[in-house]
Amino acid sequence: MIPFAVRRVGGLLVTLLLIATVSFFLLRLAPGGPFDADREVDAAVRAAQEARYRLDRSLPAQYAGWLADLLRGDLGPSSCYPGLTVNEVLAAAIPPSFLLGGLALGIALVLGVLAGALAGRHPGGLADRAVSMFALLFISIPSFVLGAALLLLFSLHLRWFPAGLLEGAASLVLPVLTLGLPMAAVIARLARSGLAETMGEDWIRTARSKGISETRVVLVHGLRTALLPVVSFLGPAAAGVLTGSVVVERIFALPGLGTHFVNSALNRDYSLVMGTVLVYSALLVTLNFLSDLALAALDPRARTR
Amino acid sequence: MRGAASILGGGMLLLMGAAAVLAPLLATHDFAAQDLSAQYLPPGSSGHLLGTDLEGRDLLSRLLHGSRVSLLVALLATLVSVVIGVAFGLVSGYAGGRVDAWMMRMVDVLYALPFLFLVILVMTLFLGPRAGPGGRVAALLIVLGAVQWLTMARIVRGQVLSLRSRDFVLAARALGAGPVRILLRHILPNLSGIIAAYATLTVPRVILQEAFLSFLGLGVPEPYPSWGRLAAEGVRGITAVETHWWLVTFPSVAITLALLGFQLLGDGFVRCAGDRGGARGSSRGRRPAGRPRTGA
Amino acid sequence: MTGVAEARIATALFEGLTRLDPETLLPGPAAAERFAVSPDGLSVTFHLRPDGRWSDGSPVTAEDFRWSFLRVLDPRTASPYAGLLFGVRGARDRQRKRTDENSVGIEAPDALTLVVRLERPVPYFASLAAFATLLPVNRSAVERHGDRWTRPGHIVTNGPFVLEEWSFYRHLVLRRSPSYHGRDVAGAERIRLHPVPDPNTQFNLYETGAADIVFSVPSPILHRLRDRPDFRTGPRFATAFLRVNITRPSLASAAVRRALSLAIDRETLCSRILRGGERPAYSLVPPGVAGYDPPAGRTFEPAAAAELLASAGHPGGRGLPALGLLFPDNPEYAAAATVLQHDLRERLGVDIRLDPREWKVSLAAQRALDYDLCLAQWIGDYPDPTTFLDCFAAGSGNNRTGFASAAYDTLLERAATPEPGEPPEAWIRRRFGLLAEAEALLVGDEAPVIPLWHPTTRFLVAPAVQGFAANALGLVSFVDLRAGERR
Repeated sequence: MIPFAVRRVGGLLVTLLLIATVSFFLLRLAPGGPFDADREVDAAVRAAQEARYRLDRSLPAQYAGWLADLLRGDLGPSSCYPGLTVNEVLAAAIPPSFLLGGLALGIALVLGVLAGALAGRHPGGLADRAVSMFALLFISIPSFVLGAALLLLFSLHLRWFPAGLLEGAASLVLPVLTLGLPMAAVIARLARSGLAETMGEDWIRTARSKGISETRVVLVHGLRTALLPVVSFLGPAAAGVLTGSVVVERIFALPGLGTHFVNSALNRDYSLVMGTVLVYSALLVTLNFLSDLALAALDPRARTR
Repeated sequence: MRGAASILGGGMLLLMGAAAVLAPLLATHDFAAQDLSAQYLPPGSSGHLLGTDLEGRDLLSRLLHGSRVSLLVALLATLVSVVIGVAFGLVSGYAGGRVDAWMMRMVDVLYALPFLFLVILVMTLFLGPRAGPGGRVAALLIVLGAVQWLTMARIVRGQVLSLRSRDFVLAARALGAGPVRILLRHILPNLSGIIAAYATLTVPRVILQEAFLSFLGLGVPEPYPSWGRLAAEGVRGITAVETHWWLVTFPSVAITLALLGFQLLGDGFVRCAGDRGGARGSSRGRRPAGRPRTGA
Repeated sequence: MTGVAEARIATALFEGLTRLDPETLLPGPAAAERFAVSPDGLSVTFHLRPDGRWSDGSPVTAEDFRWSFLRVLDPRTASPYAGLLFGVRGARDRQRKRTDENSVGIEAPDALTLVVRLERPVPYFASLAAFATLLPVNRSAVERHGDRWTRPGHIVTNGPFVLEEWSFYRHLVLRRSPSYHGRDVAGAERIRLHPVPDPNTQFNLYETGAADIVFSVPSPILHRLRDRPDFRTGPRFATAFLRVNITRPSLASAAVRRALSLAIDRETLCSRILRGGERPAYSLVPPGVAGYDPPAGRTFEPAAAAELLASAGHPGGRGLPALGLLFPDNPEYAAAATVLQHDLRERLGVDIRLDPREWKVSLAAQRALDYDLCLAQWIGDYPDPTTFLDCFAAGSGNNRTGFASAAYDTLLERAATPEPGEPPEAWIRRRFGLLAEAEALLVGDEAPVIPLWHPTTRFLVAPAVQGFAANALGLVSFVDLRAGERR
């Protein structure tokens, strides 16, 4: 078991290194550089700026320098936020993103699993149809439309929640819903189909015939297997939602990672792009890994083998 | 009942497809024609069934032409993703071992690359200053297809892994069939259901991605409308003093209906895939094995 | 520090030698209580006010300014605006060749006197001294904290405010500086600033009472706000224009470029599409420089335009290829571009291909002259025509059109120096005359630049807020702001 885990972690690190390397060179292919601006900068100033960000060296030398810094935990200075390091930008942006994403994930799981259980118990029933329609609706609305609609109704008209900024618990409600509802819809569908399928399996029928209560059958036996597709969906989805959404952050003026994903790309802030890519890919491979472990633990067939 | 739902979905899509094909005939106005005496007319006023925008352009006509762009982009990008994803998944799953591990690692790497950069890169490397709208749509297709095939590859590979040790595959191999023949003749037909199911679910994703790119100003260019671009423009009009509600509502409804149509149809395919898997080959074929996995 | 938003905060924290009057843009006293230009125009002497204090209590001295200006010239500072000081004697060499700092014509003969010696007269130097790049910085804070000298607790300021709190991308809190000489003026004790990138969100926050002032207003609803008392707008010292790439064979003819300029209905563009009080632009230099009359330029004459194009060999646009119109993809430019496309096709039969690009890509294309037509905007740094006209000198990196005219460059050159014995007032009059002649060449005859509109500044200021003032450079004075009753 231990050597297996070590091998897996080693594999994850190799994947991360590959992602970082490909991204590093890919970035330089896009036209324009960090110091191109509406007004031309004096040549001497430009040279000084490039030297500060090591852009005056050859590309392999830049890469080697970046890697060496990375090993020391230093992601370098940000060029689109002068005076700040990438470490500082990420340190400021990660907590609000994790807070929002974590809440959205929690709400999506609770709502989605409950709705899915409700619908999947009796496939074809009224609850199933209602849940399916709502789920389809929330999957089908672009997030910027959903966000704007929630904003219009609950903030501008009803004045229940603030229209933006991250100040106090009330300001979290609309962004969390915008992020969480579409995800809840996907989870509800996955849980529903998983449950509907599981409820027809032999061993569930056996459990029922043994006189175990219906609730216990659904919650303990059925749901456990039914959640397998949800768990495999959660890996990449959680990585996406925890690293922020530029749409939600822009609509509600929130200081999260999604904004920096876009700002750094649009401003050619190479070190910040690399920082955000590292955060995202590290989360992605770790969460995928965890979801694989969870799958193995949850799947009764996997255990009997 | 589920059958009825897929028929409903298919019907909605057929209607939309017809509207897209017949857009030049159905549109009441030139989609790019500006009329500065008819700015921001609400729906129903003077011949504009769905109202007009800032430049006085007819929303209905723009939506109809937008359906051509959106549906075309979505279908072609999906096709691209299916071709690449299926081929990649088949090879990776069948080869197994080290080859499979590295191919899946490549998928992981591509999955984590900054998507926006890919968009910017493709949009600039492929387009000169006088690129027409056709070139731009093509570039958009490449980008969207390039991202979507990854999940398809994972799903197909997962299925192949579970199928390749089945009796009928082993039997074919024992009879001397080569890997290409086994993949195309014996494995691929078993996957057609799940591939069709996932492909119908890819179309909506592409439509949403295009809408997201339009929200950031990187989508289909002016004056060509796409649903995503129309909705993104409409959202800018939602404020506390004034809402040109029709500019955001109708494009969103169009997107939502199309997505609903594809989802309903996709559900139907998923169900069929389940049935067919059970009918063909083995007793344990019903549970799709296609969950994304990382590494080997 | 490059953006207007940063400059607003900087001018609240720091006080430059001069300050521009919000209305006239003429330089007035600030950290310097008076200033004088020598009769030959070659030196400017600033007399600092004796009660100037840094927020750590130490006096603001002429040496502080000298050190700050030299820091701007230091390539290691990498200030993008270092070029503003190149009128100072020896400044260019100091920056390019690292010559001795004493060779730079900035002297502090005593604690309260700063003398700036110029290569040749810069009649607007006192206005430059108000620019954000030339604000003083505190030497000991910079030397002690390096890159982190702007953090709360490190930063030492000489302006009306100190930085009390700062949270990246969340908020800034400015608090009145107890050591500022004007601290007795009535005004808000604290000002809380939030960076909000999206104008729609800004507006929503304002309308729901979460903000008292917003610095931009979403353009789709401008017409609804125009008559509200809390909507403040004013001209902006800026111009949006079309760059024409004259290295393209189809655009090499000045007659073709003039025809394009004559065919654009700027009035309608401003009143029906932009709708934020923008003024149609027929000259590159916006109105508002005292004493300078911009040339008339090309107005909207569609018949003359079609005739001119025909006489250039392209009747009804025949023989001209489709022209690409490059623009950074934002809603305002996109709307304007569709109108230009429409105008040029209707009036001239010229086919325009819209080419919206991501911002940096559009910049790269402009620098490489890889475009046909391009929507661009230039914001003046200081109230003088040269902040616009210098861009189009042959060697300028901001030219980006391929335009190189010896006649134009000569006019700028002749305007730059007084004739021997010429009295200052006479020179300034003659100078403005020559600059207007150069501009007439640029926007009238040669037309590598087709002016489109002059933008506006737009603010929403809650009725309870008093003392709000903004100038055409977009700067807002926070010092007099007072909150009355909240709505």
